[in-house]
Amino acid sequence: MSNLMTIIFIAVSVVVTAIAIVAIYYLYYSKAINKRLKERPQNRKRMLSPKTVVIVAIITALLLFSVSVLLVRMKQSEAINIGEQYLTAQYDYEVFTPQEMQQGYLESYSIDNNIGYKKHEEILGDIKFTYFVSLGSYDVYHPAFIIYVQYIGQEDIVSFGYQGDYLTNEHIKIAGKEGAGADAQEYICVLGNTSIDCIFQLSLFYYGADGDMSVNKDLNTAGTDATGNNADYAIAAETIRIVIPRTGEKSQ
Amino acid sequence: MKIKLIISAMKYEQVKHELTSKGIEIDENADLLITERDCFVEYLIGKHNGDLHRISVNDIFCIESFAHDIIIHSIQGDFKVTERLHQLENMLNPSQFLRISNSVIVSLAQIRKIKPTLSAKYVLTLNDGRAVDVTRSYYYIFREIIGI
Repeated sequence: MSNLMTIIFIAVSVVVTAIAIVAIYYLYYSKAINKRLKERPQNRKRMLSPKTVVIVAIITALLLFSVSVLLVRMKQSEAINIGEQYLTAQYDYEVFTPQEMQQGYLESYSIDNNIGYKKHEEILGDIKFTYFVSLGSYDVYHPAFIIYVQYIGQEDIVSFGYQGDYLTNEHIKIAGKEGAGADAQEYICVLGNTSIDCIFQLSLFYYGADGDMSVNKDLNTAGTDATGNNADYAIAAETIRIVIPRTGEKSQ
Repeated sequence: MKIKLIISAMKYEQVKHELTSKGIEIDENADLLITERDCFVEYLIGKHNGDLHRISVNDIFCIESFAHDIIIHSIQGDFKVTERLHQLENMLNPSQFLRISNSVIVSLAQIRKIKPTLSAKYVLTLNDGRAVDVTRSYYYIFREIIGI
């Protein structure tokens, strides 16, 4: 929803609510004062007049509207204003199969140990993430992180999909890409680089035969823009977030 | 000299005797009044087609002023009175009658319905179907008296 539409929606909601409250109170007040006229009770507290309620409703509506618009604008500016440094930084990552990892310079990377990188291991559900974060600062020739992903569950996997996003430290998406329908592998390796301190978020989706069919069906239906990744179809779907300090992760 | 007496029945004859012995005539239509504190009239004298009528305060819906005329709207009909509205306000029991605007005194027992407005005003419907306004000047005193 656009900025203007959101503000119009809030304004209409606030005005309608205020009118409804005043109308309901007016009806209640009309009934109550006529009841009091007949009963003429002694020492009854005076009721709020509709005029007072109208004034209170207008002030409350204005306050609510102002606060809502302020919140919406803050949220939108947060989403848009991710900082100049993020806009000019470099981001990229690629996904490799075990066969591809045996070729060229990629051969020098290993799931066991990589010099100049700190190793981490994390198992989420049936997916094991072994990742390495660079101890050095940014350079264009070496990846900032290397992530090995393995499915360790018992199900038969037919295909997998992934989504990798770079996030600011406030978890606002800066850049990312995704893919689906790739044949299942023993493991996959994600190599990525960035020139700025940020967070890399990687989501993996492993599909069985049925899930793979559903993903392909969605892809065919939605066209080329869709990735088809859907956690509902997946046998295993997990997301990991890795902090990438471009000044280099300090070894402990 | 003619004087109108608005005093309790207990003192009426005594005061009347004192005044008549001094040559002062007692007349319901006199412009001069002698009143007793906290003594309120039970009837008013009004004119209709040139005839004088005695109107019980219980039969009055409201008293309205139209320019120089003061009209009593009652069950028996409309009557013209000679007293000013502020004089009538003092003559009538405040627990029974209430001034609701510069030109209207209303009988509280004859209010059928109160219609509030979003401004500081009420519209009263009386038992004869007449609608009269409680104006802003009398708004708060009206609320106080009715307890709303």
